[in-house]
Amino acid sequence: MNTAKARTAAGQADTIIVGGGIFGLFCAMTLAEAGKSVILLDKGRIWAEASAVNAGSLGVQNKLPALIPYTLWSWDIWNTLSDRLGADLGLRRNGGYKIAMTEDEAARLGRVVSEQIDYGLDAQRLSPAALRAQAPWIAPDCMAATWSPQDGYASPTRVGPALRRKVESLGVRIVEGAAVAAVENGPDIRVLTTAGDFHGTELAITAGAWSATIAAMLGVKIPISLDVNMVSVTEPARPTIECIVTHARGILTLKQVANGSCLIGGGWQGIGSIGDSRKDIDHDQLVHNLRLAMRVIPGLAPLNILRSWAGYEGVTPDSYPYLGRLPGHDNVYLAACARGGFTLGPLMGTLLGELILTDRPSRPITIFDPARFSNAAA
Amino acid sequence: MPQPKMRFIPGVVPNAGTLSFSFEGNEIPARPGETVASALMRAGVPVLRRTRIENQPRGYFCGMGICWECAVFVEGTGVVRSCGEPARPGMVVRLAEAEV
Repeated sequence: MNTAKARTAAGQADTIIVGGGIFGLFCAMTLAEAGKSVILLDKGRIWAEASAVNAGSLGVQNKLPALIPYTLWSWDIWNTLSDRLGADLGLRRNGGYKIAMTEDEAARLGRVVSEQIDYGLDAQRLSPAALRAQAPWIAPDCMAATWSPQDGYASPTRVGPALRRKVESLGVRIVEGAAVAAVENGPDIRVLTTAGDFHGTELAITAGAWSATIAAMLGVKIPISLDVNMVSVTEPARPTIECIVTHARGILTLKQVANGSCLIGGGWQGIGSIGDSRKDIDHDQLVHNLRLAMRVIPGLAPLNILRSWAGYEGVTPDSYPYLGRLPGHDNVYLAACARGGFTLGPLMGTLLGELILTDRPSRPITIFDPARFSNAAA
Repeated sequence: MPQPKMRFIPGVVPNAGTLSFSFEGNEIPARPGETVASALMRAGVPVLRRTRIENQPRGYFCGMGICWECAVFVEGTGVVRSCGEPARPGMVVRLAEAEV
């Protein structure tokens, strides 16, 4: 143990992980619990980007049908995470409504939920009358809704520090302010950063939207586009909304968290890019986001918005995450960019750790192969 | 020791008379142009709400409209930040208790 500590202090480890978000921390936890030495690098503070600034939804109904099994497996990890980390994570699994406000949206909702149920989602269609009886706070002109007891949420603000304490207690060395300048892959991996050089047997890239930049340092082109998602929080209100609300077109997420505040998201786009590091609110877009929230839940109207913010989300061409070896590199791994990465992160990070440890992750990962667009990219 | 210089804000004249408003049924004196937060603080009311999870006291904190910790309910207006709300004669102010 002391030799491992001395090695990581000297910048050497079995695995170097680049990116201290939810994927990287779960990967670090999985590797460290199996006895591997790990150095986790982040360009800034860990838990500072998408993992920290998202709205905390742990939705199942809002996932692509093929991702439903993965979302449920990730929920298996979420279910016991408070005990495992010894912390209150603000975790609730009170179910959720997915709603449609127009006929087109209702048709789409019906189509998608059938496919999701085929993939294992537990959900039921509600008649407008049943919805009004169950959730009188939803607008009476809501055209259609589904209910799933499997939706929930957690507090990103609470999860990050708890994960950090856990991986540090397992001996993982976290190095912040370590922006990667170059990666050299010879017999071992050398990662040159603004906080020194680090050597490892394997490299795991879990850098979210920045993953393409790291992969490019190894000459590999990985397509990732950028969303700048906005989130708003209201003043605390009397607890009324006991579950999450999502939308047939994916343009609204809403939940009322433990302090009574409502968190409003839905992927409305702010202003910014990785190049200019901007993450600003686009008020013209925000107005539509908030109008939609009030249209779905009229009781929100008198509440003040306390704050709105924006955060980056890396997006793959098919909206499935990357998880696997970097093409052309046996000892470099990539896991990044799930749509709904906060929900899927525990599973994705764990599977990445299992892949590195045993080459046999406990769930199939073929559809996440980072090489799947390599022809298109070439 | 040098003393800080006083600067009077236009429209706020100390001792230019007083007004009063009610807060949770108590009469609170205020000066014309003074904010509700300022008058409440001078009246010895530091706690404007308690947090729902840990029952911690909250009140005037940043003083510049950012943190919302000093929110109160003003009859006829709704929930406002008391640090930016001028006290008006006869206004009825209560603890913020917005409802969904």
